[in-house]
Amino acid sequence: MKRRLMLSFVASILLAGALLSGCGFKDIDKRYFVVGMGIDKGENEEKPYRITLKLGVPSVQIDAGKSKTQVETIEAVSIAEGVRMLKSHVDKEIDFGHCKTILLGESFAQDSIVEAVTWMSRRRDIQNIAAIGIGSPNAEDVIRVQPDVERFPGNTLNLFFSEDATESSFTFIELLTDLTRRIYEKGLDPYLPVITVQSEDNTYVINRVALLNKEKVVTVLEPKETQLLSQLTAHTTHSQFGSYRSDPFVISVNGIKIHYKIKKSDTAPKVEMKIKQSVTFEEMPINSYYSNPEGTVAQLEQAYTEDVLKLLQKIQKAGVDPYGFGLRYRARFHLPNFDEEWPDIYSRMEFDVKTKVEVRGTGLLR
Amino acid sequence: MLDRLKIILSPAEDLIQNEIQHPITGQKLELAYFLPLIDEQKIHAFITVPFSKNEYPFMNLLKSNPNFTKVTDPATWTDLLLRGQALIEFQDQIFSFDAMKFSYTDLSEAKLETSILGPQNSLSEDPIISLNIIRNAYVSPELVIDKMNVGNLSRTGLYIIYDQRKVNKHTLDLVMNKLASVHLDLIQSTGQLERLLNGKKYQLFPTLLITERIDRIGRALSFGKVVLVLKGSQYAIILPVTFFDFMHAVEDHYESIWMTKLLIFLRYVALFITSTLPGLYVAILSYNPEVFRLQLTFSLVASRSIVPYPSFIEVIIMLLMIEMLLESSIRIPKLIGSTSTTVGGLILGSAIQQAGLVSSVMIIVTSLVAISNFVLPIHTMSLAIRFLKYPIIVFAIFFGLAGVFLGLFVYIISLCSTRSFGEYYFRYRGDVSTKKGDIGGTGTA
Amino acid sequence: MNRYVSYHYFINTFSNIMLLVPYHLTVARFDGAVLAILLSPVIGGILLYMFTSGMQVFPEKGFPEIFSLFYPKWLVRILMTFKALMIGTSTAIVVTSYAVIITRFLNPEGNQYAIMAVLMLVCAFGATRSTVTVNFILEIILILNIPLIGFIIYKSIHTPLMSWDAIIIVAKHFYQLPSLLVFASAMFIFTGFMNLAIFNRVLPPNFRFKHRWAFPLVAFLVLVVTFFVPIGIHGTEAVVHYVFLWSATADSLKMMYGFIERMLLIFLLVIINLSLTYTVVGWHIVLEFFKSLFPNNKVDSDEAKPPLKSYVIMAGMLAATFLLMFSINELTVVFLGAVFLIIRMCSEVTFTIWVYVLSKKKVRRYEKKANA
Repeated sequence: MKRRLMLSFVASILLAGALLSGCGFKDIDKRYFVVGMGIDKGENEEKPYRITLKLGVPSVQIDAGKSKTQVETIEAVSIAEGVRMLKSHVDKEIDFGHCKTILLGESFAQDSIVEAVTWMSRRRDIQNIAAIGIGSPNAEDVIRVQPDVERFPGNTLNLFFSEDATESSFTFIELLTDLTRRIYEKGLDPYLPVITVQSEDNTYVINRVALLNKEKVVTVLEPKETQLLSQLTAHTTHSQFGSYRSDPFVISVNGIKIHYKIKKSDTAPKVEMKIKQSVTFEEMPINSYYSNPEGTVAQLEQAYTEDVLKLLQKIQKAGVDPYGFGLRYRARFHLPNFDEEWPDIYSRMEFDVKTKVEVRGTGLLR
Repeated sequence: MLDRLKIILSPAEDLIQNEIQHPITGQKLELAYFLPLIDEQKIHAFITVPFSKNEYPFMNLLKSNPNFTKVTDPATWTDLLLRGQALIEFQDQIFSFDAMKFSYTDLSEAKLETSILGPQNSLSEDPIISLNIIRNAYVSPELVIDKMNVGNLSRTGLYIIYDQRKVNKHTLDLVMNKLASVHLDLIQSTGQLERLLNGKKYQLFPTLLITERIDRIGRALSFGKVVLVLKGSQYAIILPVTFFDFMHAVEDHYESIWMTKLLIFLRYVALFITSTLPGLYVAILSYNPEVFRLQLTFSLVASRSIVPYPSFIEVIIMLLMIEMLLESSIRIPKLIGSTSTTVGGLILGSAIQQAGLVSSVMIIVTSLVAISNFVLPIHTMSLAIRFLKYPIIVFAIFFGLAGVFLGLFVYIISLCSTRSFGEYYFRYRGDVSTKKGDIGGTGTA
Repeated sequence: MNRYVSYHYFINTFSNIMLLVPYHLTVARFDGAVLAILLSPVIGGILLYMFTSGMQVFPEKGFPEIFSLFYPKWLVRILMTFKALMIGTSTAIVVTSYAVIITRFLNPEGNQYAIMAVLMLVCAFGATRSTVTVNFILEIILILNIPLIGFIIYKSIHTPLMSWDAIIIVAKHFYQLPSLLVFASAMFIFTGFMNLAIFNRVLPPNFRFKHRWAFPLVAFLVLVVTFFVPIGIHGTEAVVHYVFLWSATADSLKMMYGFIERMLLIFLLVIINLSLTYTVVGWHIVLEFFKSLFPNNKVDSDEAKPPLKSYVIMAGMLAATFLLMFSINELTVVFLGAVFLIIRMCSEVTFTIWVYVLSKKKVRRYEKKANA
């Protein structure tokens, strides 16, 4: 009797649960998966956001070029509202669970990205491991591109930003967590990769990085500088370091180790950076290294040091700190009024870069 | 001799101890043997009949027939008895008589728990034959065989077998009490007895193990467990058991150690798959499609897109179909046995998918569930587990992934709270020694 | 049987660490959290020593039995009710928060109350089982989940997002004195031994506590990880933006070669398991305390069938928890949680010292008897 009472109690609760919950039950084929999202500046003053969603359309055949997508665009007062209004444009539930790539328009990023990023972090279904980038000239055009050889909807861009497929030394991967951290952290500024479209064959090119102060783009680095910055930061994230030129040599970097110290000083605080890299030669006239090893290494070290210095100074002039000198400064020294004092300290900062090149080999030729 | 035997040997129902007095000559003959171990025909032909006819001086027969050996050392008595010899005391001299019988040839092949390297035969429906092979497998003077009758009407003979030195007295009392409280007119199979003894009425998991294998029984006896043999059934019951006994095949002791360990691990994986996979399918398809990678998700969507009804209906259709298939292949007469599997497995399976009634992923899920269910070595447990997936599906329908985890949690609670005749059913044992004591104090460490 | 003691200690550590505690600690990351983390294991360790050596004098006895030895019935009843309410509240907070987490992450459109109801029913089912059973549940769940916890921690430390500079910045604020609240939340991690108030009943009579030094040490390491890793990943500023800090942290991790990609799912699995177990254990303790209020309560640590009063008490507790959830919102949970943490710490300290004094008293009684 007691047991029957218990059982009926359980059953009634379950039933009530079923009726109450209104059920989050929604089958997978009743959902549209957002595989790419773009946020642009709207043309209309009242509707400042232009939102583009790329929705994956499942197809039974899976083959190169068989991927189908549907792209929806809307202008809205806020992002959340735009997304909600877009739901009325499609026949299925929009699901952000697989949205791994979110692009911000170039002009949008020159205004302010904070609000958009906050929206993303707040939404539970946008993953913290989603990659954020800047679409150039605007996000919509990049999102609309349908690469010719894509197998799964939206997979191409995803693969660019996942470390298990292509690993390019020009591509910065900025995940949502890191972007949020960089926006708020004192002494560390955000950066975002810039994605452009190669119109001939509908593919993407990601070889530049935009540096932002806390809310907007300040400067965009050239591909060569991008690669250099990636080498400087890469020792933690990548296994690909790319190469650099110093005529007549083209060097491939196999490994890089960077240590830097900040020396406090009232007049000119100093960053002492020691770069240790192991390299192999990719291009050079035959025998040019063996004939003069010390000279070659010295030349390479010199060239690399100069490049790094130039880059650091450029970044310094732009007044941004993607490398986290400020953070290191905070870790080393006590700086209660960071927000006020740091810009001054940073602008006075001097860099002292020492490169040590270790040659691993010259390839198959001498 | 008989008085001394009573002291040496444990009380056994199958130990025959006769004292025959010849009505005419007044000669006395004491005879002792284990009934299951010997051939009664031989005893009659060589001992009782010559003795009673008395055509020839019996002593001369004992001395002249090479089958009789004189025994001088009482210490060898038990050993001789256990090896199928009958002991005879005649005129203060003790002889042993070799009447050994092996009943292996009378046995049918094991069907439920097959093994490659282990013994191939099952127990017999004749309890004497069963006892014969049990006695032969577990040769120990400590082995006790009690007999009682169960069933008000049927009075079916039930043999309770245990090693009196190793058995837990508490367990034995519980079993005896439980058996005494069984009131049913007809008891015809071990399975029926199992249901009656199986703790609570709505028990989810079996708390006693039905087996037909002699090696499993021998092992169980050596661990101090109790074995019940029912007359007319070729299955014996082992108790108490733990959950882990059900995950264990007899073969595990015969084969390469590393592969065996891997196989045991595999069984737990199979257990997990067979109980949760349909639930996970519903949960992932209808609540949390973001679980998988993009590629997998799109394959799922593609295969689902032609199916007209929600995922759980699909799951239920397929699972009911597979249950019917299994059931029909048991019930169907052996002559046409393979038809149902052919029809069901091959034709229906591919047709239902082509017709777009079920997604192709679901077919994979169903077959995986069925296959992994058969990986579990013990039939009763495999049946119990077969049921487990349904509540999980219900949980998944209402609460998604969280529901699946909740369902598993409920099973863990219910496993942990199960006791098999006083023994903890589901626990990680670790180093529990009697010296350090066990938690609860009541447990049988 | 020391392992069972450690399970009770660590279930408390693990299940709170991912929820209540980081919230208060990270808010005060520049204002004393570090010092609180450094001090709490020391004080927690001392309390652990006092409590366990106190309980050792009363083998196979829980709090109700121990206090009945020394005090009149009415006082014992008041004390036990108080303890029951204390633990009941903490489990109520945990189970509510997990219901919220599940709704947020796994079932966003689902009804929170329905999920809550089912969660609680499952826990009630577990909690009404016998004390020994609850021990087994705890053991098996911890054994299954500790590898996963280890994996999450390993992954989170080895992520390229980890910034050691941020950790150093926070760690350098160790000289700040913590507020009572911050200290109380750090202490909470180290008070898992209180479960022995009931579970001492099942420990065998010849039981000796061993390796007591290791308990606070391991808990301290876990606490350090749970405090500093999110700071390393989210930075010193953004770390306070998240409501569910560890969920956000787990979501920032990626399994490149896994069957599934998002670490969040593994984390949620662990969290569901741990929270359910924590609630089962907590409610079981509450249940036993309430049962001890009945005049002729028979203590049986492995009863075959739970008595009717178990179900009645359980139903009452479910109702109370449900009411609690209906009547308060997320903000008040945080506030109440803060008040509760402080009260709870005071109560733990008081009871620990109390039991210690009682154990000395008992020993003295025996000595007197022996002398007389």
